[in-house]
Formats: sequence, structure tokens, C-alpha cells
Amino acid sequence: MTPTIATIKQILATIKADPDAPSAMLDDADIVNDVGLDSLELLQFMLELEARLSIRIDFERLEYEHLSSIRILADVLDTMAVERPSDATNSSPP
Amino acid sequence: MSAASWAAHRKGWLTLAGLRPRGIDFDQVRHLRSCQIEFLRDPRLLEQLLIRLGLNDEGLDELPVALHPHCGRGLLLWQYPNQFSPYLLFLSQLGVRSYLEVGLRHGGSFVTTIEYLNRFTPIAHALGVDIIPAPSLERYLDINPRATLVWMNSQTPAFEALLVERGPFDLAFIDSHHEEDQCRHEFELLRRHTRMVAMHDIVNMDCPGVRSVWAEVKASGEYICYEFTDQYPGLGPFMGIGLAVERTLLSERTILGQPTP
Repeated sequence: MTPTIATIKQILATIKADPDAPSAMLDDADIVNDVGLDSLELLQFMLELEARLSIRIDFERLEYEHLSSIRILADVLDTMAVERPSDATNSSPP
Repeated sequence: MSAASWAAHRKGWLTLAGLRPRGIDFDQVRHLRSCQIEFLRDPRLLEQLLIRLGLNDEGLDELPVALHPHCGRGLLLWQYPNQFSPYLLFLSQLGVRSYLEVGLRHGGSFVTTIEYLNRFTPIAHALGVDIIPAPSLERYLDINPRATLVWMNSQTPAFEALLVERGPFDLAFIDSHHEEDQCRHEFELLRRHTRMVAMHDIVNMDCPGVRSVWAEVKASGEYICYEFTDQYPGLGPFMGIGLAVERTLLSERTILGQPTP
């Protein structure tokens, strides 16, 4: 299991309030149909992915099909640039 | 979640310059605090002031090109100034003393609403709630200790408990997830804790769920409903603010003079 897959499982377990979920979750589990996320849980999921993986999700590249497997999603996320500290600064423009 | 639902979310997220909110310029607050009250009572002058306070630069396609130079700076207001001005002006006549906003994004509307209304009737307490934390907005609490922020999902029992603990509120403003079920749930919940409920995006072509819920509120006959939906030529319809006021409240307030929408 890659670190990204492990992180995804941990986040899903937290959102679904099921601490035992990561061990039971298959790497190829379908995030939409097997795990099941409503729209607000999906938003929480994306926010946690960005925070825990220190990435900025490129929604131009993220497709619905990528949610069909934790492994596929992990592969896609691993190609997204790691956020530099300066990117994360919420400073307002001058 | 269906593919269509995913597509709708993705479209919304693509509009944003990132999922997480940005910081706003709290120096702009001093304009609202120091401005002459007569200025704040003039809808045209107020509209110009709102533009100068700074608008959001997410979803620029919704804004006329003439406003683009004012976007991406200041309070990052995600409002149409020609809607927000008459809305605030109307509220200023209703003696709002407590305020709840659900769905803050950068916090521009939250801060502006509180600061503006506070010039007419002191706001004793204000609560902002969002599922997405906006840490930089917490700096506002340093300059307004009567405001509080809570980061939580409005669809959870914890939110309902929060309303019981912190409520009631004179006015609640819903501008959160813009989905029909979520919006209806929030309205049904908030109406028990407030006598005025405002909703954003009641005419937005991209928010059919909010439009449906607002239509239901109007059809219920339980509220006197006001709409602030002016548009800019060639765009939209976008945004739009609906204000549902309990009939009994308005009859009380009219003792002091009839508010004009």
C-alpha cells in the first residue's frame, strides 16, 4: 500500500466516522459506490486530501472515473504538484 | 453521488481559485466604521462604497468588465453591489441586533454586513459558520469581539446544537453549498432560531436548488418576501438575495416606520 493510498483510507475513515475502515477497505474500493460520500462529505474529502498530501488538487484533471478506485485516485493525486509553503499563504493581494 | 452531481461540484470548484479561502484586507473595515451615516443611507453611494471595498475575483465571468479592476482585492465581496446595497439599506431599517451567516468563503459579506448594520443598530453578537475553515478570517475577531466563527458542517446535529446554544438570531443569511436538499434543510433549521432568513443566489442560473427552495418559501405565505435581484446588462441572471421576514416582525417594526424594499 502506498502512502497516498493509506492517507486516502484514513481520511475516508475519519469522514465516515469508522476507525476500523482502513483495514477493511480494499485498495480498489470504489469511493462513490463502496464508500459512499454525499456532497458535503466529498468537499471535506477534497479539503483533507489537499491538507494531508500538501497538494493543490487540479480539478481540470480530476475526473469522476478517478473516484472508481482508491488506487486510481492515489495515482492521479501523486502526479499533482506538492504545494510550496508560499502557495499556502492566505495573504490578500496588495 | 452521481456523475452529474460530480460534474456540478467540479464546475463550482473550477470557479474557485483554490478550495481554501484567502485572506481579506481588514483595513477596509475602517471605511465602513468612519463613513458618514448619510453616505451609508444613500443606495447609489453605498453601491460605490461596496465596489471600493473590493470584490471577489472568483467567477469573474459573472461580473461586468467595468468591475474587474476592483476584483481580487480588499474584502473580496462575492456579491453584486447593485443587489447588496439595497439589501443592506433595507436591513438597516429593521433593527438587526444579532446575525448568523452560513457559508462564509473569504468572509467579505459577513464582515460587511456586520459593520454596516452596526452603524445603525449595535450588533450584540454575530456568528459565522462554514465547513471550510478560513483561518485568516479569525483576525476579524481581534477588531470585533462580538463576532465568533465556527467551522462545521451545517448538516450535522452539532450545528443544530450550536443554534440552540448561540441563538436566537434576528437575521440569518444562507450562502453555503447551494444544493436543494442542503439549502432546504438549512432554511427549515434556521427558521426556528430567527425571524428573518436571507438567501443568496435566488435567481442564479447556476443554482437551481436555491431557486427552488426560495420559490417554496415565497409560496408558503408565512413570510413577507423581498428580492434584491438587479442584474448587469448581458449577464446572468446571477446571484440575487431573497429576504424572508416573519409577518409579525414586520408589523412590529412598522411602528417605527414602514421599511421600503
